[in-house]
Amino acid sequence: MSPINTAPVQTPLEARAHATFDALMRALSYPGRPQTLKLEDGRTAFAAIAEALLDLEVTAFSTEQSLEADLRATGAKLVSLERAEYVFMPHLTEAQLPLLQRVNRGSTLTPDDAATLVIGASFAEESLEPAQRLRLRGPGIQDSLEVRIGGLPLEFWRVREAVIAFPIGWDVFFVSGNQILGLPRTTIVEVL
Amino acid sequence: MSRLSELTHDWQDHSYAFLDEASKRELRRKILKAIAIPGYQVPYASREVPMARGWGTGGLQVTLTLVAPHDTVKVIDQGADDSVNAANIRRFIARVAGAATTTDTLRCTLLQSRHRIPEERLLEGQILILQVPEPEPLRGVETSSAASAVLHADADYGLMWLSLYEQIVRHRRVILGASYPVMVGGRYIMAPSPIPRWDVPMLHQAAHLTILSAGREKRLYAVPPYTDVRPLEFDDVPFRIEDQGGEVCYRTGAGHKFLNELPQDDGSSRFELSDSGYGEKLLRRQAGETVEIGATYYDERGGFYHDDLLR
Repeated sequence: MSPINTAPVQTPLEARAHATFDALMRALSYPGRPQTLKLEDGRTAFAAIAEALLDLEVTAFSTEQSLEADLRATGAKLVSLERAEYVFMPHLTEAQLPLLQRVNRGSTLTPDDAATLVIGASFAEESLEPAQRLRLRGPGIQDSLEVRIGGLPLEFWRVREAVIAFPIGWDVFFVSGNQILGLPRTTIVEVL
Repeated sequence: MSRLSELTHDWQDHSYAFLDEASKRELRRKILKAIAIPGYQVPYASREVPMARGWGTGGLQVTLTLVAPHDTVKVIDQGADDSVNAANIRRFIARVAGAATTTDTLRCTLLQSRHRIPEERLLEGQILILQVPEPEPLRGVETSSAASAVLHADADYGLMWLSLYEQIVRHRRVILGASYPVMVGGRYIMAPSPIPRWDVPMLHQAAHLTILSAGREKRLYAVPPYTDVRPLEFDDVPFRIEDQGGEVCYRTGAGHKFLNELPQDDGSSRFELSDSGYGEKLLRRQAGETVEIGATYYDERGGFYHDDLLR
């Protein structure tokens, strides 16, 4: 038997998936603090997140057809919104808000069944879009944290508050270019 | 058109960090869920690793999922870096992941531990991975996993409180040592793994992320940073950490730290620091070296760094 003399190296895919997951984990651990994804030319953050988390064991849904090829490439099964474990909404419009009420929120017995949402937004400081000032509280946040998130219908925050009854509720990753911002169901959002 | 050679990579003995990508992806998904629901036990597949179940396979799988070549890993067992279990796990991780190792709490990015949290405070960005033998805090009062799950779902923790009350009635105090039950985020009762009561407050409003993983029981759970973790206590019978009895470490002279008792031939006892990495740094400083020692959870007079937790 030959001993293992050298550590194996990460394949490019593994290195990418690891870096993306690391950013996702830190984004969810410290809600409201943007994390940067290392994106290769032409790849979107949505595709990178799908690559890091999705495979043939999970289900996904996208509001935009352009993303479906990226989701299919992971092996994930594209299903209806209600059944999807990962929901991608690159451009959340006012008209799409009712969709959020159909997303799986899990149950008190199995709150981990709830979906994870990946939603396009803008929170980069140089962004010119009007942004909503929010005050965040909850696990991962020391006292409170003020952030600005734009590119979303204002009504989004009311819908989110209405569907979350901890531990029931969904978790969100907001995507803005190569930046992500985590908002787990535990975060209490105050619209300022 | 891609060529076949572009879609593959050079042959390797095994995948990076031992676990294959599909296993790591499953763990990653479950870790994110665990962070989003602090204290809730998330089931996971728990793959085979070259170690017997019960020896830290849960912690190891999480570490192998999180590790990257640029990480620095510290592994401790009951506070010691040099015990057989810790040394072997550390060597294994270094071998399969090419990560650096350390015994210095301040320098590590990932800290896998069995039954202790170091005395020096962990900082933002560091990750504590605790090995868990029994993830279900209600096992002592409810033997059925299905029934326990319903109790957690309903936040029905009367049985747990009753068992603490009965201990006080019978023994005049709570007789739980390690794995003292805690309330996480005001919602879930959680087993903090068999850390001593001394370490339990360290999870409260901590700057770092803690992931707890039970390989045999196939469940993992997490305490995100800055989350309330309060030991169960009654208004008139507060939670108590272990009394160190005014003893100090015989090697370093450090007091108000968690100590190991070393029985002597003449029937007396000596005490030494349980946290060997911290003890080593104190000794090096006493020998005249310049050593960076971080702030500790308990100060020289035994005061805890959060003043709202211990009464």
